[in-house]
Amino acid sequence: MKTLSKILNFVPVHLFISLVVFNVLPVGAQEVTLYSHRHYEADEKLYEKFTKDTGIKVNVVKASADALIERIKAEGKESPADLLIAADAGRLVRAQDAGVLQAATSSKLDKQVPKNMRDAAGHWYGFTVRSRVLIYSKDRVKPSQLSTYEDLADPKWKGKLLARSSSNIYNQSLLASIIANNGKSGAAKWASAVRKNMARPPEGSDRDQMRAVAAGIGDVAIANTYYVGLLVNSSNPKDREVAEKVGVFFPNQKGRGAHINISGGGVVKWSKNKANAIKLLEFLTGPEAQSTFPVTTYEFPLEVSSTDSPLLKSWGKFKADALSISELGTLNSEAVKIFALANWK
Amino acid sequence: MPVGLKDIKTQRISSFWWWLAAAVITIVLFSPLTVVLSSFFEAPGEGWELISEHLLFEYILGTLIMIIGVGITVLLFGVGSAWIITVWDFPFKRFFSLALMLPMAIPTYVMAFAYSFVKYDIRDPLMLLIKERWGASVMSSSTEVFNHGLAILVLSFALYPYVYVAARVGFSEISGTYIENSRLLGRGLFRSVFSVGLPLARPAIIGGLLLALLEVMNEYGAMTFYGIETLTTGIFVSWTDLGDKDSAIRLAAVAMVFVLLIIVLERLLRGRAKFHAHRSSKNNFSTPTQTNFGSFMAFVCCLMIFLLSFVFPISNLIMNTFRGWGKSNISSLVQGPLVDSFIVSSVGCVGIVVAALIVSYASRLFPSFIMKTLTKLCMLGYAVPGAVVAISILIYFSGMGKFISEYFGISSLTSLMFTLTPAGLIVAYFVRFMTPALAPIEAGMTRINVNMDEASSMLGRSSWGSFFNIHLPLLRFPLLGAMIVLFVDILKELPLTLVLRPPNIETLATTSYGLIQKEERIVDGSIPALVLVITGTLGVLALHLLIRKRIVQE
Repeated sequence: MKTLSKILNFVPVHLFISLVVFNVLPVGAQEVTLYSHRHYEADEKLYEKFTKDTGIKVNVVKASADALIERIKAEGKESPADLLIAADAGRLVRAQDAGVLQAATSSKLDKQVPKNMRDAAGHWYGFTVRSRVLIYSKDRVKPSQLSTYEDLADPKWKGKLLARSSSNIYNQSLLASIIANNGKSGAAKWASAVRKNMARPPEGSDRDQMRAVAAGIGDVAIANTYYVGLLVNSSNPKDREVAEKVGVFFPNQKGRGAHINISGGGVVKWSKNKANAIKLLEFLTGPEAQSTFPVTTYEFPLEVSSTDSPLLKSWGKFKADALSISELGTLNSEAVKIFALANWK
Repeated sequence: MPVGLKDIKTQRISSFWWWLAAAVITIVLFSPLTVVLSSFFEAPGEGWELISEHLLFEYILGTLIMIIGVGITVLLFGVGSAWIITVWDFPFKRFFSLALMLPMAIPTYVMAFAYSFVKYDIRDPLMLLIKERWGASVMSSSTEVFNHGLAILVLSFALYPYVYVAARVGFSEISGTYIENSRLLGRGLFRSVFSVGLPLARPAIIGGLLLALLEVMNEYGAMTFYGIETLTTGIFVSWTDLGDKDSAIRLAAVAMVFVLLIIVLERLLRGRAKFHAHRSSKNNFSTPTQTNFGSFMAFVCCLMIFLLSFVFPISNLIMNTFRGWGKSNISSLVQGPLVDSFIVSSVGCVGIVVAALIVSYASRLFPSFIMKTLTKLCMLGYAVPGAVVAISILIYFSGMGKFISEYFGISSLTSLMFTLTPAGLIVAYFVRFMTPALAPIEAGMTRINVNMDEASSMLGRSSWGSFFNIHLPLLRFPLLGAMIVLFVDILKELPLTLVLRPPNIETLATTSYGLIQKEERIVDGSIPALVLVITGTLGVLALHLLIRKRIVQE
C-alpha cells in the first residue's frame, strides 16, 4: 500500500516539475518559432547571431518537413509555428498546397531572392541553392565522356551508375525537372533506362553513392554538390580519401544547365509573430548568412556565382537550369509515380 | 460466520471500479488508433492504386523476410544463451548472465551505424570480386542478399536481449526437478530444452519474441540504410513521397492486421494450455553440469554474442567520444537533452506501468471477451509505426481540442498538450508502450495461480484487498522489470519524440540521431549516444539485480 501511494505521488509531482521546466518561455518576449527540416548545427549558430542582432529569441522544432506540415495542420490556429523551413522546393509547394503557409512580402526579400527561387505571391523564399550533379571516378571516367542527365540512359553506362532511393526528394525534384524538359513519356523512359544501368539497387545516402564510386562499385553517381564539401571536410580520413577520388561534373552545360534546388522557408498561416518571421527570412537571405552557408554547409548562396569559398570555386563556374523552382513542386507527384513504375525503389 | 450476501455485493462493486478504470484506460489509449483503422472504411487515396499494384507485394515480402530472419536469429541467440546459462556451469557464467542483457541499451540506429563499416570494408570489396568474376548483374543481386543478411544480424544484435531476458525469467521459474526428471529419463541437457525448457517457459519467451518482432516491423532507419523495403518504409513512401497520408494510414492498417495475425496465431497455438509454475522445495536447477569441452563451448558462444552485440558498438562510441573530447559542450548536453530525457522517460515509465497494472488486474477479475479484446486493442499501438502513432495522436487530440473550444470556449487543449508541455508526447508513449508493460505484468499474473484469488476471496477479501495483499507483492518483480524496460525504451524512442516534442526540447535520442544519422557528424553525435547507452546500461543492470534477487529469494 505504501509503495503504491509513493508511486502515485510520484506521477503528479513529476508532471508538475516538467511543466515548470518546459515552460521556459517568458511571456511577452520577442520570439519566433521555427518548424525546421534542416538539421545543421551551423544553422543554430546563425540563429544565435540573429538573436544577438535583433533580440528576437528563436525556438526550434526539428523533424521531417512532412511531419511538421501535418503537425501545423492539426494544431491549426493554436500552432506556435511562425516559419516552416524545408530542404527542398517540393516540400514548400506541398505545404503551400496544404494551406499552412501565408503570403508574406517585403521589399528586402524581393531584392535579395531571385525571382525563380521564390513563390510569386511570397508563400516561400529560398535561402540556399544546391545543385544535383554527376560525381565520377577520376580513375575510370574522363569528364569528356560525360555530357547530360539524358546521356545516363545510354546503354554504355550499364552496370556503372549509382543513385540513392527514389523516396529521396532530391531525386524526385531532378526527375521533375526532366519531366518539365522532356515530357512525361521521355522522363519515364529515362527513369527506367537509368534504373537498368545501375550497378546495384538504390541504397543509402548521397555520400554512400560517392563512397561506392571511390570503391569501384560503379563509375558515376548522382548526388548533391554540398555532400562533396562534407566529405572533403570530414573528420574521418576515409571520407577525405573518397573525396580525393571523385570529380564533380555539372551536366547539360550546353543546354538548359545543371539542375538546382533550394532550401527555403515560408511564413505559417497562423503565425503570431509574422513580422519576426519575415525578419528572420530577411536575415537568412541577407549578406551575412549568404556568405556563411558556403563555408559551413557547403551550399551555394542565392547568387550562385558570388561566393569566395575556394572549395565551391574549385568546382568551376556553371550554368544553372533557369526553370522556376516552383515547377519542381508541381510536378513532384508525377515524378514519384514514374519512379514507382520504373522499379527505382 | 460465512460470507454474507452483503459482502458479496460490496465485492462486486469494488471489482466494478477495476473494470471501469481499465475500460477507460484502454479506450483512451485505443481511440487515437481509430484514425488508422477507419482508413479501411474510407475511399483510398489516389496513391493506393499505384501502391497496391506495384509496391504492396514487395513491402509484404520484405516485411516477412525480416520478421522470419530476425525471429529465428533472436530465438537462437536469446533462448540459446539463456538455456546455457541456466543449466550449464562455465567460467564467467555470472558475468555473462548480466552482460548478455546489455545490448538492450543500444538503439538500433547506433547499432546499424557501428556496423556500417561492414558495408564499406567487407561487402564492397567482396562485391567487386563478384563483379570481376560474374559481372555486374550478379553483383547487384548479391548486394541485395548481403544487405538482408546484414540487416537481420544487426537488428538481432540489438533485439535478442528481449528474448534472452524473457527466457531467463521463464527458465528461472521452472522447478529444477522437471529438468532433473527429464535427464533421469535419458534426455541430455540440449534435448531437454525442447521437452522441458521451451514448453514451460513458452509464454515468457513468446512475449519477448513478440516485442522483438514488433520492433522489427517498426524499424525505419536501419531498413533504409540497407535499402530494404518493408511495410513501414512503404508508409513513409506513400506519406512523404506520394503525399498521400490516407494510403500511408491504410498501409499502417495492413501492418496492424499482420501483428494481429501473429498475436492470434500464438493464442491459437497455445490453446487451452495454462502455464502455472509448479514450485517445489527444490526450486532451482541445483547442480549445473560441467564438462571441459562443453564449458569451453558455452563460454565461447556467450563471449561471441557479447563481443559482437555490446563491446564492439560501445568501444566504437567511446573511441569517437575521445576523439571529440574538449570540442564538445558537455554542460549544455547535461542541461538540455539529459534532463529532458530523464523527465519524459521517468514520467512515462511510471505512468504506463500503473496503467498496465490496472488493465491486467481487471482482465484477470473479469476474464470476459470484452475485457480481453480491450486489452488486446490497446496493445496495437506497438504495432503501428511511431510516426503514424504520432500523426494519429495529433489528429485525434487537436480534433478534441477544436471540439472543446467550439462548445466550451476553452481553447488551449492543443497548445497545452503539444506546445507548452510534453503531455501529448507522454500520452503518445502510453499508446506506444502499453505492450512492453502489459506483456511481463500479464505473464506475471498468469503465473499466480487462480486458486489464490479464490482462496483470498473466500476468506472475505475484496478485490482491492486481494490486489494489495496478494497480487502486488507477488508482482513486484515484473512491475519493476517493466518499469526499467520502459525507461530504457522511452530513452531510445525516436519517431514520436521527433514529431510531438514541444519547441526547444531535445532528448539524448533526438540529438544523437540528428548528428550521427542525418549529419554524419559521428564524433559530435557519439557523446549524447554514449550518455544514452550508459544510462540505459545502468537501467539494465538494475533489471539484472532484480532478476537475481528474485531467483535468490525464491
